[in-house]
Amino acid sequence: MATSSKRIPIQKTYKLYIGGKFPRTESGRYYKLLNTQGDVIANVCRGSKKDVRDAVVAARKGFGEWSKKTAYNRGQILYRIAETLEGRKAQFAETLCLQGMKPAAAMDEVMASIDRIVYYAGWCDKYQQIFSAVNPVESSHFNFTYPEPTGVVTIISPLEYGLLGLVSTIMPAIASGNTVVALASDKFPLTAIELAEVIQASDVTSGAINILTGHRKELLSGLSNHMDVNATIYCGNDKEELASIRSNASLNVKRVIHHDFKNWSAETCQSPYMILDMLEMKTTWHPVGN
Amino acid sequence: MQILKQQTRLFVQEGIANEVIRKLERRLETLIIGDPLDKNTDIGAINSKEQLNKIDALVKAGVKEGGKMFQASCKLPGKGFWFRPTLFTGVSQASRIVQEEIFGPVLAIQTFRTAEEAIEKANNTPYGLSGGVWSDKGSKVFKVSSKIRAGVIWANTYNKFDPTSPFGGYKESGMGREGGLHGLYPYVKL
Repeated sequence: MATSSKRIPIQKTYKLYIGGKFPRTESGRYYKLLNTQGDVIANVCRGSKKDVRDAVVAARKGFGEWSKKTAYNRGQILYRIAETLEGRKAQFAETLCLQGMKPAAAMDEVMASIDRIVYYAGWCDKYQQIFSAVNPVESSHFNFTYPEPTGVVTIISPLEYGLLGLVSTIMPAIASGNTVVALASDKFPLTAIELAEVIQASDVTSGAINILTGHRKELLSGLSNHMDVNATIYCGNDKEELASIRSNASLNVKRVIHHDFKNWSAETCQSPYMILDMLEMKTTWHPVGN
Repeated sequence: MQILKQQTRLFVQEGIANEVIRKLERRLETLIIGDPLDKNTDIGAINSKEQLNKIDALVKAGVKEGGKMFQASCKLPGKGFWFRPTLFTGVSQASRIVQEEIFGPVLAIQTFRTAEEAIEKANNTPYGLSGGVWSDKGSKVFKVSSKIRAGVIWANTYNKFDPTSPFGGYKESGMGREGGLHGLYPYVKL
């Protein structure tokens, strides 16, 4: 084993996740991620507005294939993400610790994240029934309403709960066939990109999930004013940020979803109504007669 | 098969296009323009001079962009803001009368060969309130209606409304639904 003691460990470069690929930010910019002692633990891609636009293009491209999959198949794929993550629990807990968490809390968060993915995997082929209706119209028509995905959803994920927050906002969006562009927390970029690696290994359509790292303040406008985005999820409690997102969203009538949960591991942070937030209802009229 | 959206764009399958357009022109000639309170009236007045000017400008742009125009030769009332029922054929997807919301009695007709082509053209707009599909084949109606990105689809019927039937659009045609169970969602805490 003489050679192993001389071996230099390979340092990992964390990149972005766009269209099923792991590119560096087109801007070439990085920010230094520090641990609690103030030491640099990684250089993290500081994503740009152009990266946001590229990710939205990838998400729109992925929408056709991802939304066309059968509900059951989407459920299987979400379950597959959970399976893959289960096998990498230790790695994720370690990376959360590296970013400043205590070991027990880190492992709790990883397990809660896996359970949340399984929760939404189960809903993939069930939310349709509870949100559909056959409407009792007066005239002689068979009239029914059912949900369809709204399209491309951008996510400004929670600043805390680096893994669970990301999972809790991405999963209800993709469960129905939406595609997403998610911005990771400035403080937890490493687990976000490791999650991207898990997703990449889980049969998710390329472009269905895109994950960016970078500064929230800088990327907020690009994520909310893009004309080919249908909904924006904002997690946080900064009134100015929320107001600017609402104003940007009005440009093309985006749906704005606001979450301000303090504890993302609570059961109240998972619900089929969080799937409903990103659905459109289609009503069809068919004549009944000879 | 035909698809109609926004009541301003009509897509007709190539094989039946000439016949449909001929019949539409004949029907246009019999439309009665006049007092909206008169039961016999088909089309009332335009709501303002500004709107009439906007329709006029869009129609002129349609002609300039190479569209073939047909207008009903009916008599218009002397006083008020009126516009002749108008059909356009030979317009392109990029044409302003196809892309912009006209809010006037103007219909732009385009043709298609396959259902996929019709769906792609119908969805090529930032709006998605409502649309209609006509076909004698039930399975085709379901295929097309499920792929049109709009909140209300009328299949082999048009412009039906009911308080129990949710109404509202996709994309830039608005938020939420009015009517039916789905219209109640914003009023309940779930």
